[in-house]
Amino acid sequence: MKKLLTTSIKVKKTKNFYLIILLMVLFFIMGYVHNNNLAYITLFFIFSFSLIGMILGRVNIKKAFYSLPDIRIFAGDKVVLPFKKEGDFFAEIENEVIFEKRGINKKEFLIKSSYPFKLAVFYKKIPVKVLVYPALKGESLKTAFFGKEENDFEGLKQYNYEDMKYIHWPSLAKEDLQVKVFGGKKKGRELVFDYSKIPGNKEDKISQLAKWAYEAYEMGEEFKIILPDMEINSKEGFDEVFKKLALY
Amino acid sequence: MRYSKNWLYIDILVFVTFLPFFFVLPVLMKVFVIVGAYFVYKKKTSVLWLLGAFSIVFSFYNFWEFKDFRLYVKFLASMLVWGYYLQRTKEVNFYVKLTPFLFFGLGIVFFQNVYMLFYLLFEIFIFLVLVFYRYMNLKDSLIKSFQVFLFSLPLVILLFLFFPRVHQRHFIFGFSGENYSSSFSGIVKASNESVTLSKTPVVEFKLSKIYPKIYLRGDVLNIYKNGEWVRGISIKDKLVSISDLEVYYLKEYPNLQNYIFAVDLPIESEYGKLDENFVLKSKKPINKLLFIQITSALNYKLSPVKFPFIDLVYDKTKNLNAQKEAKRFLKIKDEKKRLSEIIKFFKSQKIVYSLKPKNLDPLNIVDSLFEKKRGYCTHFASAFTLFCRMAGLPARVVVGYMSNSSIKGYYKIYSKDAHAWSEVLINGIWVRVDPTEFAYKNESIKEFAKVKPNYLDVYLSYIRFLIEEWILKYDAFKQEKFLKFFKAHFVTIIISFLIFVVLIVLIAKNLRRKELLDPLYKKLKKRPQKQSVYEFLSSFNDKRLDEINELYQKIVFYKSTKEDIKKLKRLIKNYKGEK
Repeated sequence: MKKLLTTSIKVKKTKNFYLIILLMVLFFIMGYVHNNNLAYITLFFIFSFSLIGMILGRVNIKKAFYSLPDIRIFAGDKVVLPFKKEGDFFAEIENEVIFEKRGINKKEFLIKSSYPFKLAVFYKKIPVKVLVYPALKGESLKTAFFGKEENDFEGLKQYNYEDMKYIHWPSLAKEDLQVKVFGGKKKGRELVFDYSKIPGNKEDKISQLAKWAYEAYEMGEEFKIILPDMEINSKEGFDEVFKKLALY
Repeated sequence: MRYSKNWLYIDILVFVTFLPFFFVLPVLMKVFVIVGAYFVYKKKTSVLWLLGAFSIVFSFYNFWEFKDFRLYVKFLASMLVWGYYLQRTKEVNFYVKLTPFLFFGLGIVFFQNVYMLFYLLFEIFIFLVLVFYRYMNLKDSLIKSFQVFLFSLPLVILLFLFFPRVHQRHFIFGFSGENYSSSFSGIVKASNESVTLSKTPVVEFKLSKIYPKIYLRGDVLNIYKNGEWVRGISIKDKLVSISDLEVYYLKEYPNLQNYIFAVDLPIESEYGKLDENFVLKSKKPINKLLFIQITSALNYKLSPVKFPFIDLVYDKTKNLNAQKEAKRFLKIKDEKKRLSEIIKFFKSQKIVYSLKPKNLDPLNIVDSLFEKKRGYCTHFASAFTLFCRMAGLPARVVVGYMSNSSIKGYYKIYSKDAHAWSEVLINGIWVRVDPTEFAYKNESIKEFAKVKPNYLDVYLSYIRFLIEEWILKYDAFKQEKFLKFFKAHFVTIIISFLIFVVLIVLIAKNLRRKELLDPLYKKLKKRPQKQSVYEFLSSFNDKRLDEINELYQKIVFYKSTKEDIKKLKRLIKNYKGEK
């Protein structure tokens, strides 16, 4: 969980603010013309409520905190950040965002609230620090490494907890569950993704590596990424691999 | 029918702001309001059109009556409610949003009484609740609204007291919601009729201090004809000197007469006119509650501009015995002494005060009172005044009210306090003499005890009067009075106000009832907003919270045992927050 920090609060008056001023002027005239104390009392109540409303709104926005659970964000993807409300307040936060760059991204998010009387909108920017994984771009793993697509069907074998997508459903009816075996996939081998052998600039290379790594994880292949000054093994886990790629 | 939240807010506001008008509308309009609500529900616009037009035309067909401002207001309110009903069958629009504001504004202009003051506070509170209801559940919004309401009170009070006011007349129209009462007439009969005392309130006022006896000047009567005192041509009086000035508000109940019963002697009034004998009268009969500022002198010297021969007139053919008795007083040259001798003589007659006099002869009132020795204030004043005239002193009868009981200078005068007394011209100055004081004893104590005002009633009236005087009628004059008081008691007022503020803050902060789950909410840093506790706790998908939830629901909805509550508290205590 990333605790967010508050920054300064900005206030923008709404249409209602000017309507309330108009209403107060009207009540003042009503009170003044005939010394109507009920109108005066209403006027003073409206004034007090507005004042208290402004204070409440400020306190409310000051209390407004959101935390962001760890999620996987890839550069260039439109994401809806799953902000979590921390505490007892009324506000909205903008949560649709596209991060263009990989690595640690600092971005300010706008929290806004017109609580309680909608006389003003209170804004607060909260800085959010997120780790953005590289964009997944480039050639597909299958075409680049295996030469042929995975859907080159080779035969059936006994089911052994493989991914659902390989299940041969007609066999289910015969109560002898089998899975499909595709060409190009061999057990026990390790793929090697070499940074230096990928064409393009640094970002292209990283994106290509990320794409391959992503697909490899999806397919359950083991791999090794060779960067000019370090090696990353798929056994380190998805997040660790991508973190290293993001920060490289 | 789908009932949208927007309509809910508007309907509630319109209902609350319209309610005071409902009670003053003509019967037909009342029926329309109730029946119309059904057709609004059924969305029958054309029926509403016809019904509304019918009700308005038949309620207000007499255009001649429109010179009465109140009728005009009723008409306006009827049109507004009709308009609202017609728009209510459509989508939410500008007109329906405006309606509650119009009713609210009309309400505070036309209803000027204590009830409206409290109703106004209620309306403001409802408005607050609706604002907060958009954010939280009803219970929380009630609490929040009450908190905001309480917090705003000190500011409202400060603004109300110190906001600069200009000298401006209060308006005297609109609905005051008081019934008519009439028990006073400009004629005083010295007849045999017995008097029944009534507790109808007449006037209320508050003076700066307590006076042992307060006389309210009604009318000055100077001709005694056929056993009745009536007002004849009167010699103009002028003020020689005044002291003990009191500026106060007089609240007079409607009496359908022109008399304004001001404290003797009224000098100035913002309403009504003083006649040549300093009797305050309004141009029009008082048919609604009057609340006016009057200046009176409690100590004054009044003198006729020329000698009032008319106040020496008496029927020489009547009261022969008294005339004989009176002759000996003529010899006393010093008028003051003559009066004191007359009083002594009057006392020696040992007349008993009685509300049920018997066999009095109004034409020979002096003789018959001295003979029968039973009478009430009118008889006392009549006999004394006539006797003074016989003894060569110009005298007249003044009718009005007299009171000798007050709460801190607050007087509430009832019909039973009606009184008559004499004014005798001594050395060119009118001197008030209350002959009833010379009564030997009071036979009617029991009757008076029966109509003794209920203390609760008097105290409630007093509070209401104070609210009327200091809130509804607060003005530049009152503000000056307050500022003087504020300067004199600066420290006390500031300290009391601070204590008041602290109290309000304490009350407002402790409003939220302690709930069993409060410590848990603290740990979760969240509390249910617009959902039930069950939904709220389930939304976490946390086994520990589910356990707490189950137990809590059992305690609340099924059976609450001490062990369960203990267990719940323990579970909450052990809960370490979200994973």
